[in-house]
Amino acid sequence: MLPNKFWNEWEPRVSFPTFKGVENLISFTPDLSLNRKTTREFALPLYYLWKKQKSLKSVIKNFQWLIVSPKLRFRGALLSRDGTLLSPINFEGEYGPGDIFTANVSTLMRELNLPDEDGQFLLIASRGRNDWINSAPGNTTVRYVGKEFISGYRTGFFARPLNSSQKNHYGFTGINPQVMVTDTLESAILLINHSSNPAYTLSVNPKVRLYRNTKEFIEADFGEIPPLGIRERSVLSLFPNAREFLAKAHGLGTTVTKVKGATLASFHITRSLNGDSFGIEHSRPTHSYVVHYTRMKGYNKKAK
Amino acid sequence: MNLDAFIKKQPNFSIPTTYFKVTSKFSTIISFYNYFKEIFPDLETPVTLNVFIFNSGGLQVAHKQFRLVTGESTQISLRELCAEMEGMVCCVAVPEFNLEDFARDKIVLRTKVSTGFYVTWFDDSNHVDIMHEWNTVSAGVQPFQTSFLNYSFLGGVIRPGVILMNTTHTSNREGFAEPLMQLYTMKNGKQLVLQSKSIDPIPPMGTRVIDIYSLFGEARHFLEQYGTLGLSVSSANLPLPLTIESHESGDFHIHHG
Repeated sequence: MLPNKFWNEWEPRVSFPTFKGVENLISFTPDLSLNRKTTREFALPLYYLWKKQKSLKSVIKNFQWLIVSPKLRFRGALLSRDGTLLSPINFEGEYGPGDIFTANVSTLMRELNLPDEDGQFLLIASRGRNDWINSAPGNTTVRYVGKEFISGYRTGFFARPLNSSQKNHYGFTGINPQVMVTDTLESAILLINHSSNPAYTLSVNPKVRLYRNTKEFIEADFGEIPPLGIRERSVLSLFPNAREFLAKAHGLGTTVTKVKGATLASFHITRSLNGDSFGIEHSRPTHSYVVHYTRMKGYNKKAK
Repeated sequence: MNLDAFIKKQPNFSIPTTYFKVTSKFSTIISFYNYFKEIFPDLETPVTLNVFIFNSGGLQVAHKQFRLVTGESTQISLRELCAEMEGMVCCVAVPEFNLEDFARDKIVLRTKVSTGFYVTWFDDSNHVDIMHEWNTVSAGVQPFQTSFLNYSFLGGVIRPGVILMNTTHTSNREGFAEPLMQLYTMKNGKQLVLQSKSIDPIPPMGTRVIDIYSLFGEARHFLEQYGTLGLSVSSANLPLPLTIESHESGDFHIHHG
């Protein structure tokens, strides 16, 4: 749990897993959409206010951004994998479109004499775009650089309600169809129990099924993820017999991870067994490629 | 079937893409789960997954269809579908059921239904990277836009690169991308352009992999001097590119911008 006012509701944010023994680097370059002033940008805050998806305070902020076009400022926090705050971080500087923000999280940890352990870094931006769903003016980059490898991914930051009293979640389904358990590669699942509420207190216990075809699967408990925590489980740690189970499918499979009553950020990881390489990517919300959720009745139903 | 005929036949489906490469030492695998089962859990939802492959010059070299029953996954090695080459792969799942009928009174469908899929790249030395699908194909000319990417020196062990993919599908000359790339840094809070280069036109559906050190002669020197460099890429028909970074150990990292 973080202090109650650790961020304002209009400040978009994103959490990145950090890994021990590597350099963890964050960077961000705002794109030109940061200061876009179209009719849509002016209309969106009023639409969201009418739909009760944004507070009056947020909407006033949105109009301030449209009128003044303030540059982005950043702050952040180092957290442990169990969601404990290790240290808040303030960054100097202001960033407009094309400007480059960088932070070496590993250097920050060394400067604070924090142990070199797996952790997480929370990046908070002073502002975003007015779009409630697409509030990030660009993608944030995380790079993981080791002696033998480079990896990372990019994603946006968000200000919409998640796992908070403002949003009722039916549940979460994370599907990874690129599972490999071979002589050289092994997949893993990494989940973040995130929230738009700094004082979030709900732990989750997902269940994972490993499929080798549409009918045959084995099931395991993923293990508890504390509020604002991150947990990674390799396929073999979840399913010690996965190699034998997937042998019929040439070592290829699909995991389906589910939890009720909460939503999670989900990542796929593929590691080389000799430790020389790994790939990481967030799951895609494939349902939303088909279903226009925000146009559906009751989409923003508040939690009871 | 060529992609043009597909777009005419299925105008309500977006066609996402990604970069692929197949050589004797490098493989690309596309992964797809028939997620319509999650949307209509009580119904049979088979789909046909269409995979279109374009070489780096923008020429379609393959179209294969894969039938997936309800809830089925597949991992397709592109080695099975084309010769050694690199370029753009497009995947689109078309329901074999009446999507509008299934959706009626239950869900609101998007105007254009898209396909989520993933890609795994790996080489014969166990270097691996993964990504989700990226930019969608546009049947019309895409407007001029500027994309920003950045690179860090990281002790000089990483060689930076960029993958430009023209996702405009048209025979029109206006469908070419003519990128201008600028390498810049931040000095006293302002952007300072260090070098600019025009790139040879990229044809519709074409892909260009560019090594930043080869394109900008002084890039390595600048990266060492400034620690971080920005790269702006400006062109019509060129949505946000991918970066490709190579570790001196042989590992690689490819990701969307």
